[in-house]
Amino acid sequence: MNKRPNILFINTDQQSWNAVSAYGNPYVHTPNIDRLHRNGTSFMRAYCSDPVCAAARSSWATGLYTSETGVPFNGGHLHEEVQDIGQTLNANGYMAFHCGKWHVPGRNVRESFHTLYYGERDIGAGGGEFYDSASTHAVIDFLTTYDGNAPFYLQIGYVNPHDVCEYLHNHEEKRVPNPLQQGLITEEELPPLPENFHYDESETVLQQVCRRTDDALIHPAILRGVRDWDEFHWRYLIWNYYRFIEKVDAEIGIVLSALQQTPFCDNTVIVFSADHGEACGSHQMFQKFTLYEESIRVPFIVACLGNGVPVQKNRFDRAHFISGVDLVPTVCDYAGVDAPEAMQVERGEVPRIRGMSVRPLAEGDETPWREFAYVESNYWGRAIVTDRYKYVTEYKPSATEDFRPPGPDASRLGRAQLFDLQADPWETRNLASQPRYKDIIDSCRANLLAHEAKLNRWQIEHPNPRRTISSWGERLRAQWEGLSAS
Amino acid sequence: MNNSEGLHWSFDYNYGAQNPQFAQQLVETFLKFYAEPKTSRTSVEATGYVYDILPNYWRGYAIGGNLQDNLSLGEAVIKRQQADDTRWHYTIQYTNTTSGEELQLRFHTANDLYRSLIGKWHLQTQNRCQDRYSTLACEGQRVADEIRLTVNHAEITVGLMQKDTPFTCNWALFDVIPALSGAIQESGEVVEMAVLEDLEKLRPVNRIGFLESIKMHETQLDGYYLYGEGLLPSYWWLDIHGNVAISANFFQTLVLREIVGGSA
Repeated sequence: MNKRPNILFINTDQQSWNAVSAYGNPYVHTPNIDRLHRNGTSFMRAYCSDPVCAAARSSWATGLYTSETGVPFNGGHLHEEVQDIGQTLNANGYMAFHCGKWHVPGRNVRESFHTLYYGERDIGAGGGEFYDSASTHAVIDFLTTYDGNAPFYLQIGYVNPHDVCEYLHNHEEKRVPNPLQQGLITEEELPPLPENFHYDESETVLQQVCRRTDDALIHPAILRGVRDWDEFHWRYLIWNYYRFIEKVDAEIGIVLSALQQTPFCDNTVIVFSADHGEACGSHQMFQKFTLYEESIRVPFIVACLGNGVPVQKNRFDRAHFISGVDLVPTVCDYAGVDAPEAMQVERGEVPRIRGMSVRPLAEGDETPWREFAYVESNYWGRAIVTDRYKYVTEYKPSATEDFRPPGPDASRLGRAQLFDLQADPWETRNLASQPRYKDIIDSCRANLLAHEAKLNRWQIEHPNPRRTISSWGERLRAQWEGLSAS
Repeated sequence: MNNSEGLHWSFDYNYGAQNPQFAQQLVETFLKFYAEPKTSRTSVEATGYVYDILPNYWRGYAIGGNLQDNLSLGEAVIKRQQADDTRWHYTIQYTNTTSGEELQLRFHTANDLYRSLIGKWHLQTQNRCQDRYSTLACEGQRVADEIRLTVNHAEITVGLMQKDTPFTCNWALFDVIPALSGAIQESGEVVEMAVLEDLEKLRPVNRIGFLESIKMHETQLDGYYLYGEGLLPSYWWLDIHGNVAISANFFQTLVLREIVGGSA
């Protein structure tokens, strides 16, 4: 048996941090994710790098923020010079396997990993109903037959609960049934309307243009559909969302039970997380693409079903901010592999990995750690989450787009939101306009700019993301000009 | 199909083809696929039921406006025969052209209303993906309250049963729901069952109840629902002969295309 541990990265898609029964949610039953928690440490302040699939996954793959990867939204294109975790591990004595959803545009997963299963029709954004079960079959076949000659890294990308997106698309232009009135479900089964169902109307211009206006840049048809929804419809959305999570939890259960029966169980560290969350009615919002907690905060568990890998078990870590960029350094740390070095290429230095290894924290050791989480969204959106406060802001689009992700530039910052997460964990009271919070905002802004000064934001060259940046930027500029005129 | 006048919310419009023609196309497709068989589901002679799998979720199948005439994502063939007075034998062949997954399920049930799973069952997969995974064989059984699968000599526990709950495979529901339909509709009560999805994933708490009856194109369909933990709501429409004509969740719809054997 290899001394270097096997590493199993199980990820779900669009699962908020609080959609886990072990964390006290009575409306969803996740006995298998709960099992991971019992066998590991749950980090309760884990944030994605960017609340949309491709962007967040580009950070998982590289350890970089999305303004560095070339994938600041779903239509991005990973900079080809950037090394991914599959390439790193395969070059350093590991067998790196991938199974299921990948969704990192610009990088062929079959070239970076040994792929167990990626669909007959390549897996795109959705389709958990069809793909997840096959992924499980591929994984249990692998786990029960692998020769163990080299340690393995296996990442399993489950699609669900992402299929909740299709639930929403299915209701763009038609009635939603009311199973409560029909007696199909009971009032007690339905989760309550979120406490933050109402939203702050002084959100950033970016958020309004992307998600609120009649011709919103993102999913306007769903937006028009949900405007007719009443309280029941939102609660039924949440109810359905939890069924998707239970479906994927059952898949995870089979994988864990299979692993338990293999010789690899004791020497396999398991990382569990989600690429981003799901708004699920909070702030009258659906899906992701926003910087509210439901959209950006995710589960993150480091576990071992046996005792061969030291992990603090059945423990909550509520102190440390974890980011999606931490996956690569964490995996490299467990693998005993150096994270990819910075290197000079034609257009400058390849971005350096910004993440930190979570391993010491999982083992219960103290280690210097970041004081805030940094999250990007929709190219121009930014958030800083500190121990107490959350600062959300945006960059205004430049007059002439140079396709270099914005920042750090205080002169271009637009609107801001500030929430006191201790007093107002549901983010219902925007404090940004109150003079007594000026110092807090100044401090958050300074953190933002200082952090961004360290990032290496290459110009985006691929035509697809350039088109998106151009068209979205045009809409944003028009909106800002309209605001100035009024 | 995209309104309350059509079949139902669960067999309808979807993303990526948001135009009026799509609904029309789907209706026409449905009618093309639906066999309107004259054979009663309860007929012992009827041994095979062929369902087309149609997408409610359309994204990825209409990229660039390249709509296919044939919307089918594959098919499910349910074959069952009465082995003796006490048992039924089922063979399911499920083919999905999106996942590339082909499932063959073999199992026995008791000759009761719930088609309770008995003995050992078998799941064989084959996949047409271009990757390392190609096939998997599982054998399963219930041992006391545990549901166990054996895969490549590894014995995996996949769930715990409650002792007295009726328990069957989801594919046997194509017989169970018609068999229970009369009692459910008359009583207004629900029937609670455990379901072993594809013979591998235990859904321990589910209920089947009556939904509504609708008329469409001179055909009456009686709807039933299946709700449960870990299951997407699904809706089952029985034709006037007692066959499950449509089984749909929000993502996919199985439409009865052919019955093999049986008589009017």
